[in-house]
Amino acid sequence: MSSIRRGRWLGKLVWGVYLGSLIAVLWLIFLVLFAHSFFEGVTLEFPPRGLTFDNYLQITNQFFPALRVSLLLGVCAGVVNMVLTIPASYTLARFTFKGQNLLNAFFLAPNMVPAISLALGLLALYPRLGMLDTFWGLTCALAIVTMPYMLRPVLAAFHDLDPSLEEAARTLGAGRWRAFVLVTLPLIGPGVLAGLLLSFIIGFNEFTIIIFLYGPKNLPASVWLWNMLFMYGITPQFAAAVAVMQLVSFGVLFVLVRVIGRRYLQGVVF
Amino acid sequence: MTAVRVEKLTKAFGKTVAVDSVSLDVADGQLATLLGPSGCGKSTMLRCIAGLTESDAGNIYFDDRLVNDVPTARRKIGFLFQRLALFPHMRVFDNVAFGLRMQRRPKDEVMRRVKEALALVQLPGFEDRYPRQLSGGQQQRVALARTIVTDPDILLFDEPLSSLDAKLRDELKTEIRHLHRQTGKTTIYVTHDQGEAFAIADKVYVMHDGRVEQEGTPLDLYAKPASPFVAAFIGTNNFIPAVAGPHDPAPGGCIRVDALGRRFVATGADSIQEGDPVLLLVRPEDITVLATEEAGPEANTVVGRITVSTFAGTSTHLEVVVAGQTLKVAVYGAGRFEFLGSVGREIPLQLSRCAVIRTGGDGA
Repeated sequence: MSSIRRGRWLGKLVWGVYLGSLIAVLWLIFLVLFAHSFFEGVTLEFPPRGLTFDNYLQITNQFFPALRVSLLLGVCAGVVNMVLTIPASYTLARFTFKGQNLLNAFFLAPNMVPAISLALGLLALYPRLGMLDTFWGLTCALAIVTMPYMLRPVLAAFHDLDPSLEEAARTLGAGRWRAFVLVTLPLIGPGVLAGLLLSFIIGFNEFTIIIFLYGPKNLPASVWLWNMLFMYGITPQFAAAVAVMQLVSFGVLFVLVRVIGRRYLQGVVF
Repeated sequence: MTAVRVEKLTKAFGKTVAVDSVSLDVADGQLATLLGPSGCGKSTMLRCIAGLTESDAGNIYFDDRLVNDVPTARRKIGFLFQRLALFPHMRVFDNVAFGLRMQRRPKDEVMRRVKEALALVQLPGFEDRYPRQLSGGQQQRVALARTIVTDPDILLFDEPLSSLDAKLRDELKTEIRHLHRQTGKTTIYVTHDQGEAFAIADKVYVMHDGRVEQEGTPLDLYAKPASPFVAAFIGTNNFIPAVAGPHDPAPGGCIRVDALGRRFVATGADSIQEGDPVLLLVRPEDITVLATEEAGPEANTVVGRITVSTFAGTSTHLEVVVAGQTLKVAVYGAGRFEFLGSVGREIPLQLSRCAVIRTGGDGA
């Protein structure tokens, strides 16, 4: 009896140490820059000296406009993506047809192919459409990149939904469209919101593709950071800018896990 | 009030033919059940009538109106789903009011009719609950209220009781029958449960492999099953291989058959010729245990040995071997106590109601 208990205790310890070190390593990477954002100096120094908040104040003029572009891009990419993805998910979830699996894989492809191939493809296309260095050009590119992140939770929400709910609405006198809007849409809401938040995080942080497509009129935060790094190296101001981006991302992630996680379960699992 | 007529409806899913040229004729105010095992096409049939599934061929008429291309929303039907399909994000009131709101009824009328419907299903005061806060039986009643509140022309029920426990099922079965008497609405009810079908139906369609195997009143099906499948599906039956003998000259009269090494008198299909191989059907409840063997020439009596005796409360089930053939016998009344632990005993039996059907087909 007691040996079993000791065994359990030992097991818990091993798991604890394993998970603890994983998390510690991950957080250490985040925290190094975060910590440096609060110290004086022109480069990262060790040991650090002079606790200050000046770094944040110094970047407001240049960084915040870029941050604004990124926030807007994240939101707009999510919304465009939502409008495009909901009908597609509905089709994939509700009907069975030839080539369905292929189509499914196709929609998830933006995640699976090298980002650079997508970037160069758009770079070849955009000048002809006059979309280079436009806000909507960047939005469309990000909508494509984030599509899998919208498709997955929305598809899951559709799969969890009993198809007879929509049929019940139709037998009660609602046309197909009204049945969808009044019954299906509210019930996949949590899935859509999860997709929006995920898309936002991805779009907000995206770098690989928009570095090819941005211009001085629309300078996103990730590209601004890259330019800073190129010109000045890793400075405490750079660290402060990264810290701001991290805070936004973690904030959204927190909302996703705490709020949506629970509501998603309540709303979809009947 | 509306009659439903279906002509040669066919529907295939890929290579599987779910419904194969099925015709129905349900009169105004009638309650018809589609009865059959799972996969027989009965639910597909109902969904076609509702317009939820598009048929490949055939016509559906409500009275004399062809409704093949009328969308579900405009067929004026009430549909009760197997999984109920209550809207989980709406309160009971909004669930029941949904259909009325689709008809753009004024607010006070919606209020009044929802209230009436909830009272009718004995759930007054439940307006503000969410479906997940209700028990299975209560959810069932809300679904029923939602189905009837719009005053549809036709009611379509798709195995609405199959997810409930036996006691609740009995209760709601009676209620549905009661509701039908009150409203007099044409109703088509799909079920795989013969007891359920018989308890509520004016007319039963027994379906098998996408076709209607037999249609008729519950009594017709019970007394004169048209095929071994129907005989096997409706209650328990003994199937005894037999050879047809001479008919009575009068039409609809009896027929003599040879089985178990002797001659029996049975009712049967008119088209059977003397010498045809047939099946003699006897229900376990139609076999009487006799005190002594009456050796009358047409008394349908045999002697057998009890091999199994099972006490089931209201009855005792015996298996009796007669001339190498095992017969199931159900003993009701006081006699059921007599056969406890009676294995090995020889008893005389009278086959009081026998029917003859052709062999062939499956299920027997």
